[in-house]
Amino acid sequence: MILGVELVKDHRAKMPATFETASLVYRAYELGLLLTYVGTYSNVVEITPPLTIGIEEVDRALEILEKALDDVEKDRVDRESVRRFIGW
Amino acid sequence: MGNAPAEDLAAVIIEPVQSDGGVIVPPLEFIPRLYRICRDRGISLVVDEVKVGFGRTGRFFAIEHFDVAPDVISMAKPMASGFPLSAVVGRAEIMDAALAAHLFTSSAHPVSCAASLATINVIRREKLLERASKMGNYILERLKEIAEKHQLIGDVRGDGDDPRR
Repeated sequence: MILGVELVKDHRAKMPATFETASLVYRAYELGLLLTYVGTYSNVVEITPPLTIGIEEVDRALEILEKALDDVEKDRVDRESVRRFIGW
Repeated sequence: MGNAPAEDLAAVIIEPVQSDGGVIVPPLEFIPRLYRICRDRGISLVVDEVKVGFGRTGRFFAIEHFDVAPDVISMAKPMASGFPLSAVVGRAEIMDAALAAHLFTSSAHPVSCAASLATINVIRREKLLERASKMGNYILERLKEIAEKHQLIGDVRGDGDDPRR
């Protein structure tokens, strides 16, 4: 149960979407889901839940993840708030 | 690496799934081939199970997915469910190579050891290896569905990627 979600600026060149990844993690935190990012370019969301996690919790987490993704894609996340945490 | 003489290379250290490096799942053949190169040249293979060990990938140690016998395994994080504990397990000729050559900060406290034994019992009793596999595959499938709807996602991957896992 170790999953990675890699965010990119475009699919062909796979340029890392570093700021968007930080925004996603920040927005997910605002919505009640704690995530972290890893990788050389800090553009991979790492998902490593406890082995005892239940299906309802997983579904709820994925729902929040998708909502946060939507908000990042539609530029609904406050950039200044994200900048305060970027690099942590 | 192909021509690396053992006298220049004491050991190769790997994570079976690279975690902080960006959740990199190696191609199926990578670790067995690396193992053979090490074995044929007398180079030790050290496996870092600090993050992916203790059941996370559906086997107790992630390296068990491959037909590989590492010389040393390191473990820590999930070992005692939050109590400070870490361990290095290895062949006697490596571990006993020098007298008192280690200074572990978090090793062998009796309370942590009891917590670790309890953790192992829960993993066994609640069948957490099967559960990790099943849930990992489920999350991966769901993430793939989400990825199809979102341009921002370039790739999703994880231990469920590998049909042998």
